[in-house]
Amino acid sequence: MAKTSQAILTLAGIDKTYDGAARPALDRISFTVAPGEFFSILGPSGSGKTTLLRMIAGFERPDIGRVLMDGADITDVPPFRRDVRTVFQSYALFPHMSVLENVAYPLRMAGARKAERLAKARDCLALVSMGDFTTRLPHQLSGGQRQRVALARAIVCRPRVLLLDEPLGALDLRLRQQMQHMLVSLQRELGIAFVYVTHDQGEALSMSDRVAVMSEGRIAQLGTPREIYFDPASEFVAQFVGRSNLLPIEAAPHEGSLTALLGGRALKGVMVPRSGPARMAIRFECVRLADAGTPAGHPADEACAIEGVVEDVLFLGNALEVNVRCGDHNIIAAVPTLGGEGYRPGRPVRVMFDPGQATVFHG
Amino acid sequence: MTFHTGDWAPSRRGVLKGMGAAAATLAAPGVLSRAYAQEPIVLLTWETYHDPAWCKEWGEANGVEVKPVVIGSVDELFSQPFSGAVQPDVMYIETGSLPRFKEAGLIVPFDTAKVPNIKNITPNLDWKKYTDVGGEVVAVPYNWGTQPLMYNADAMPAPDSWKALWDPKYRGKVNIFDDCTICFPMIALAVGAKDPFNLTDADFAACEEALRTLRPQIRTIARGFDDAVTIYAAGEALLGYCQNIAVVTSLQDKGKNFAYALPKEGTPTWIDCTGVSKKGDRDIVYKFINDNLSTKWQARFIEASTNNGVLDLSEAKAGGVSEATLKRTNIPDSQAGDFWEKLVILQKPEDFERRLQIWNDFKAGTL
Amino acid sequence: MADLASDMSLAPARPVRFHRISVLGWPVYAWFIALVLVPNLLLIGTSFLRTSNGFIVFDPSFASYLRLWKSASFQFLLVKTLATSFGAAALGCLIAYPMAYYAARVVQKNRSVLVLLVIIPLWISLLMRVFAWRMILGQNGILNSALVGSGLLDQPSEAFLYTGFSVLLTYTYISIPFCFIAIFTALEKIPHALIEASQDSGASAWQTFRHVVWPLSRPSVAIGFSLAFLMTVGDYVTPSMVGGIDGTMIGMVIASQFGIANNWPYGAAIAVCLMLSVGLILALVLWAGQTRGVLTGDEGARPPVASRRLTSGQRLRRAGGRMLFALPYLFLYAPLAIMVLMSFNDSTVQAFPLSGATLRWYAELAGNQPMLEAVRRSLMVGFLVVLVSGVAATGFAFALHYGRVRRARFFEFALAVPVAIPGVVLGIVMVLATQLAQIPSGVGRIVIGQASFVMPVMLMIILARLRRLDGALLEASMDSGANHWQSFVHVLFPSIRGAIIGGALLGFTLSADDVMVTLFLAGTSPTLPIWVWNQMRFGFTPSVNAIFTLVGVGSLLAILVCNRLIFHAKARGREG
Repeated sequence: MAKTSQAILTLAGIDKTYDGAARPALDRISFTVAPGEFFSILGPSGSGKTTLLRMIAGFERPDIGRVLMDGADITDVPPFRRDVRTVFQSYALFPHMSVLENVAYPLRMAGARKAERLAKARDCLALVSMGDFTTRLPHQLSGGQRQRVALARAIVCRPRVLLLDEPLGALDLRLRQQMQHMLVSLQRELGIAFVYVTHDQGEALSMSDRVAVMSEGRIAQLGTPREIYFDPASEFVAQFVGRSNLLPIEAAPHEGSLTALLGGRALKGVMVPRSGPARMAIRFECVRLADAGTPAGHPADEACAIEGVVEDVLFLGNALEVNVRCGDHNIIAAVPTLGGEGYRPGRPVRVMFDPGQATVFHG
Repeated sequence: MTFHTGDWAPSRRGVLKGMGAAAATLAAPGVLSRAYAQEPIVLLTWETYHDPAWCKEWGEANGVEVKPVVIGSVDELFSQPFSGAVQPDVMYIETGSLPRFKEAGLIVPFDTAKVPNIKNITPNLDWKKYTDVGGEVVAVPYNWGTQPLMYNADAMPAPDSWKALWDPKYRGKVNIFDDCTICFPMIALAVGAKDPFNLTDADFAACEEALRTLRPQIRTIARGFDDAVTIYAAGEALLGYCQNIAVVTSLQDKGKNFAYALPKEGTPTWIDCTGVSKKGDRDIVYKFINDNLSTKWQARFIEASTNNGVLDLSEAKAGGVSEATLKRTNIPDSQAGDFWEKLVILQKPEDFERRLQIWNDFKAGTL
Repeated sequence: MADLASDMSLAPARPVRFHRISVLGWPVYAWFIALVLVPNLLLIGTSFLRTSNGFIVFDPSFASYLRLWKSASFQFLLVKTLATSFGAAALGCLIAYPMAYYAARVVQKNRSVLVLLVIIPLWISLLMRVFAWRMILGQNGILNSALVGSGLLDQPSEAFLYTGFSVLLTYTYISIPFCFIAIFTALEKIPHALIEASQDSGASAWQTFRHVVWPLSRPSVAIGFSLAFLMTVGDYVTPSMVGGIDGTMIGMVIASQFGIANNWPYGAAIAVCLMLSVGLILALVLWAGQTRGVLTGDEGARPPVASRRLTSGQRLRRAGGRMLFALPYLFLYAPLAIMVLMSFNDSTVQAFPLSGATLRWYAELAGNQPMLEAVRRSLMVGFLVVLVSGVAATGFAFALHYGRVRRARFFEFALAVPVAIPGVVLGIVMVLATQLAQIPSGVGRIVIGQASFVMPVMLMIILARLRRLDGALLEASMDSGANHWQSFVHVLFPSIRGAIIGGALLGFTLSADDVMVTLFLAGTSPTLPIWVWNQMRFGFTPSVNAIFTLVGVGSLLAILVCNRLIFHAKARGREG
């Protein structure tokens, strides 16, 4: 996708261990961000994603490694001389300045004249639909409004790279969805590269061009949302992105070929690279249910099928999550609410999935 | 603290400017104050000795600034120059402490030749004996006074002995002051020590016992001249060891019937002498000291403070001290031949540290 | 997609950490060495010398400590001093706690005025207030007159003044404002949600207090206690004025060793012992006061808005609460009232009964040149001390908070050592140090001496504020393109301005009222309290009452005006 010559931001072999910490916060991190790209860093808390963001912003320095912007080494450049802006998780609006003053602040630091910077700040506030709140003080705003002001402050100078540190974390669902749309359209409009840190896979997958999934200071997988979702590179990614069943299997020669066995039952068509114990991941929505009695007819004759009993059902609005007990294991299937009314605890069902959609990991 | 975090909108700059102006005004007099060519004469002196107005007047006439620093006890008089807190030119030291000041290098030998007004000092005052340290005169008198027994004349007849302080009748109504140098000789006199400045171990034991029995008699120790006046005036004490007879006169002025008596055992008497430091060994300082001993200066001093000064009765009268004032001083009495026999002039004690330890233990109540 | 970046050559490892040692740290070290380390080493060094014939012999010896070990009076006085201060600080906390609770969590309007009202008495010289207590407690004093007049006593009691009781009372009186300030700040910070969470969990009001409010405020109670303890433990002027013969405290013995006895090693040894015992007690108190966990979030108390109608019983209780709240204020202001009264009394003697009304003391003020000079000097000293301390404390707070100082924790405590040194000792210690540095006595010395204990107080206040500040603010500012200095000017300073002003107020208060330290440093240029101290011993004039009455009225007015301005500004801010 991005070529080195085009990369706006490059991280090369970043290592960082905090004083007194047993394990590194960042471990050999390398990636590039293309101009105008929406790049997400996804990971659970403590995975080092915020450290990484602060490294790009200039608040942390790597023990080893380089940060390059436009090919120039900015590892030792202080934050205020980097063409990078951040939207902070806590928004970090200056409590003693009005909304307008907050947004005009970066321009003021850049030495812009008063009239000019106020005009620009107003425009920018209009862009995030906060034009009516210029004289308010931050404590007089709601969470969503503060969020937009923080965003306005970060983009008012049109930086080359915008860093967003879990900016939607404190907002409610509806606001979060609104803001997601706004962020995407804003990013298109401004053409700024966004580096977006989040622990919410939904946000990462829905908005990003590419996603880096982080775990324990390393990049577990880097790819497009599709690659990440459908072709997880590791058990961790499979677990963290989307919702998957993780079933212990045994790979053994069966009827002449290497076959996956779940509780002794062969799962035909599941590709296993080598023999021995392994785990198989299959997403909830890839699992289908059928009545126990019906024969495994129609096109799904290739599909793996396991008999089980419904244990419990969660109502999610547009879907149901049906937890099925199959011998020693539980398998969860996500089925559309319409047509799923019949699944009640105690009902025997058949669990089916397409072996092509299963991924096997060796421990 | 969070009570100031409110938005301070209304013309903060104005307030700041105002504060700046105020600060400038404050600093200005210090910068603008008159500068004399000569180094100022710093006095470590006692209250009433050097009225700032007199000092200013003399300073303007002689082209030098005179700065009087008032101290409250011999203790301070010693510690201030010794620690370097104040570097005085002139100190007013009672006779008993002169050797200590000399040993500590705080005063230098005094050049009496530069002070012709020594002739004005009353012949009744046998000062040369006490200002001679190691064969050299180190100071000349400026003032003298007695430390008698003072009492409320409405409450009792005139006592004739220090023993009155130990009288159970006056339990809780006795006052003394916190100065070991001056109080200890009184205790020594009260217990009948032969030489109150050279106590034997037996004398010390007697003094300790006397202090032990004196403690329940005393409710409070005066911290100074004015403090004493307040304590007596408020009725917290009826009799006591008098720090300065000005306490008595000042009480009389306020309509309280207080008087003092010279007990038969002897009354500790001090002579405050002018000593000069190494820094003060200058002609202008000697001129100041000489003028301090002029009849005019002394008369004004006696008149204003009812102290004894150093003048003879006739000189004082000639200088213009009023009869009323003279009556309140010891000057007329001191003409009598036997007057001086009742007085005991302070001298250097045998072991000051031992006395102080006892005094501190007495105050702490652990004697 | 393979990241091309990973193919790039890796930069060599950087062994030196980012800005671990910075120039910003040097002033902290310099201050520590000049105002803490050297003076105290001088003191400790002196304590191991001995005297001979009244002069110090430079010959290491334990003689002074041996003498202390054997001295019953030293041990008795030490215990007595510590016990009295301890008791007073404890009483002070007991009285201040309900007051602070009421002010921080019950009162909704004009809270800052209530706080300032507790602080104002501190601006009136301690000597004046103690002096006034004598008039209240004395034989012909108000208390006795009232008791005799009402028939409770047949004749005036001698139990009130010149006893242990009067010392404890005045010490408690001194302690209350310090305890109050510390406790108030803690209580104000407790989020109301925690209290609601506790009530929600089924806790009664008492249980909520016992298990939530008290543990969260306990560390501050310990700090308030320590401050109050320190204020009184080195003070020998107060007990000597109201305590009578039994008012002798260890400070007086120390002072006499450095003065008349001229036994500096012995005095230094006592001072070292006092410092060690005080340190031990404070360590114990702070240890006992600690609470696990850190209160996060900057939200203050949001007391419920009580707009609902109250039952008559509740109203009664509320009125009762207000009365109880007002009582300590009465206690705080009683001596000031006496002072005001005396400033109009037509007599030079400060005792009852009054002789008649006059304004002549005010008229005399204008002509009292030395007093006006002392007032001017006090203001200048206070201003300079606050300026020096404020600049240093702000700089140090940043250096410490942002990791520009090695062993920041150590230095934070080390810089505060002068606060924990009893005044009389600090005064002597600072004389030794300034003497060594050849600084002449006068304003310069006073400023240095006072800054040594004012700076740490301001530092503590500013540091506390910085720690509560959202760390992201600085980053947001730097991220916006502001360098360190711009970030300081536009973001950090405005955020901590309240703390700096509060600290400056407290610093000015400490400076304006200091007697013990200044006494040794003033030389020929007395500040107002020193001048008053001298006046009290000889030549007291009621003009002193007049000037402090003016100071008190002036500060009251200033506070009311400020409050109005702030209130208006807030109202305007809300409209906008």
